[in-house]
Amino acid sequence: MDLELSVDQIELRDNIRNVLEGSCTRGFVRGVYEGTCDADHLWKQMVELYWPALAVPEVHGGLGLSFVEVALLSEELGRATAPGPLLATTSQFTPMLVEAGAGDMLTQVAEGARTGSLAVAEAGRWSRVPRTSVATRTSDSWTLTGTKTDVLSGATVDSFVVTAVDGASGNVGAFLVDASDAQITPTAGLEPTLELADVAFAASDAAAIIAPASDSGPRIERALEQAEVAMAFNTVGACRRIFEETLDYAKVRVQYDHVIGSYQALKHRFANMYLAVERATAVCYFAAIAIAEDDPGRSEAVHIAKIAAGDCQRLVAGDGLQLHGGIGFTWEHDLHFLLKRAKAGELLCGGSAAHRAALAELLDLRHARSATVMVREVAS
Amino acid sequence: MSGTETEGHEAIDTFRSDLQRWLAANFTDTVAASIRQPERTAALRAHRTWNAELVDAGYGAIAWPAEYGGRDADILQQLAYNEEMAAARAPGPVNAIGVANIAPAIMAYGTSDQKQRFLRSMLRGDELWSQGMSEPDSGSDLASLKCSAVRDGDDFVVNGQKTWNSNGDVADWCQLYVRTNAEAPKHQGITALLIDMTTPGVEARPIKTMAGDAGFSELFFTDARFPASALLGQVDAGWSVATNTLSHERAGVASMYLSVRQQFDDLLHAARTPGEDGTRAIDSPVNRVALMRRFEETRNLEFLARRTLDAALSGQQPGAEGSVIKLAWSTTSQRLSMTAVDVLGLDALDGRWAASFLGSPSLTIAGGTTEINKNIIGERVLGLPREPKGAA
Repeated sequence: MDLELSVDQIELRDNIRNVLEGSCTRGFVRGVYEGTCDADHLWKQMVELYWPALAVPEVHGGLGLSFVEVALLSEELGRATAPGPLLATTSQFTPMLVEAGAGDMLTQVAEGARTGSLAVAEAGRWSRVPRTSVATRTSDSWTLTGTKTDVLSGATVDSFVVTAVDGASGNVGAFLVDASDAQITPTAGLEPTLELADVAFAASDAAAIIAPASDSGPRIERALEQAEVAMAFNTVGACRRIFEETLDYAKVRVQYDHVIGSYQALKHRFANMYLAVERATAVCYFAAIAIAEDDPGRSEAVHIAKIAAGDCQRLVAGDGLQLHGGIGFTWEHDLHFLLKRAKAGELLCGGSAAHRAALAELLDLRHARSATVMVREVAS
Repeated sequence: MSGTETEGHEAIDTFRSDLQRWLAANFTDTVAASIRQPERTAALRAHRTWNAELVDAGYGAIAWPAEYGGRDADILQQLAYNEEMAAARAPGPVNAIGVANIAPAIMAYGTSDQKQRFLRSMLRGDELWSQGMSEPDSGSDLASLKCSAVRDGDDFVVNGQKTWNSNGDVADWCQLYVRTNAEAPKHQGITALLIDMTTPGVEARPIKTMAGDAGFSELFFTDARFPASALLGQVDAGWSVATNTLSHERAGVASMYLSVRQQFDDLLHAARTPGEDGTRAIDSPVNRVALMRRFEETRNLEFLARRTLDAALSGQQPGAEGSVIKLAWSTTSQRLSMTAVDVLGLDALDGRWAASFLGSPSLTIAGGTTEINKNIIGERVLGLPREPKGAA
């Protein structure tokens, strides 16, 4: 397994970064925060660049790239605190459609004609197994009842894929519901550019794209894992930019006749932050590659990546703000866009605590294996 | 995959299975036990015997150039080697610092006589080596060292003290850094010597650490006289010898995470093993959380190190990233030792976990403290200015 990006992947990432630096400026993000701009024009540009088509298979009109490219896109969207439905559509909606083999819908996504998101969390908790959302078989289709919370871009997307339990069989399924069939309550809250919403369904018409069956759970989990790792990348992207901007500031801010970055007390905090960002990046890349290559260790890697991103966020957001001093605490300074994106990214798709609990289960169920066996797995 | 790559992989697979076979035949449980026995002199003797066999079989420092007894191994081969040695739990070279640090300096700066005389015997462990760098008043600020050498004719006459010399009390030879010019700026008056430890005027006194072992020594020099042939590199150019010597062992970060991983596996096994009353340490939720954190850190270290290795594989030159790995490795390894005691409780009061706990403070001190390491990251990686002198 190669942990280095390919030349094409680096080029793609640099292109995405360049476009976003031009179009998704801080002034633009501020405009979205303050209600003077909307994300429509940015979305149109992303469609022209085929970004929604990135991970749609070629047979459905997409570019057919791997999850690594989706991860890189998610990282850049976090770095730019980009508003709009792209993150939800490429990292949540598309993976579930691909897992379900929903070709028509994928074609619409590739054309930029349809946006979508995953409706998974219930009562503020992202859970791989739905507890309160129930699907009911009708003569020729399904209806869906329940309330999902904290849906990414829930306030703006065209469609949702909803996880729900079949009341009859008790099996979990994934259901496609049109936004017009749901009751949507935006919950802008901490990070308005993520367009979060609570979405309620009352006997809404639903299409079972992954029908409830004994083997449907693992298929749904595979798509959820992609959403989780993409969110980890989004968080790390924001964290790296917080780190870079704080470092730049420490090189120009003068106190006691010297730039503050020359003082050891601050230098050590920068070394800690740097390590946290580099470590989280390495772990996230590993998880992305594990997903792209369908490595047997993928579930473990997903949990570790989301935990590392969350821990990185706790350190870098805290120190980034502290080392900016009072200016970093003002609305006028742009730092808070990144701080909020990083914090929201830690909480969405399962926080560190939830993934730690899941990983503990995974760890205790297995026997300790020798270091070499695991290294060979990683290396092969 | 190209044809050349396939051939490369086949060559590595062959190398790996040959090494596995050799280790199975030669690194037996008896040999392993004799090297790990608590009595230091006997353990060292066993380690030297086995080390010489390893070298004679062609499995000594494989990253060294072939002309000095290595294999010119590339990074992938070094990685395979480190994995197999770790899997067999085989110890590192008996002259660990010698093979990693002193030998590359001799290869880069030594005369052909010095290379001929020292490299092979160092590799086999026929002669034990120590390194004389730190002094009581020169720890992190190494370049302030005062142990002096004065020329008398061709000879160097050395007076002063060194400390924290690994194996100093049993070493036959020492790479010694001395002050040869007290007037020059501190980095420009240091000279490296290769000295015979049996020379009159050289005295080694073991330092007993809080772990109760005596792996370190202090060295005292009283008018100790060394010939001109002891000089390594140029007079007053010793700082370059110390800092510009690149280790050949670029896959060394792999041995770091492999050993931490092994330690974690062992701890997890111990935590899952029921005690006499049938309870297991891992059943306590508090212990599970602690073990989880260490597991994550261990995996994080591995991915960080593998990324550095991949960068090396794709041809990037080693930079100060080593400082980042050292920071991650030392803190991860230290926390793991401390968690072992917390999780295993009274069972950890003696034996390997107690030893690992008592030895763990050295991880963030030896080879550059964590604090100096963070300065290096801040200044050389992140481009922050040096601390102002005499800042109020």
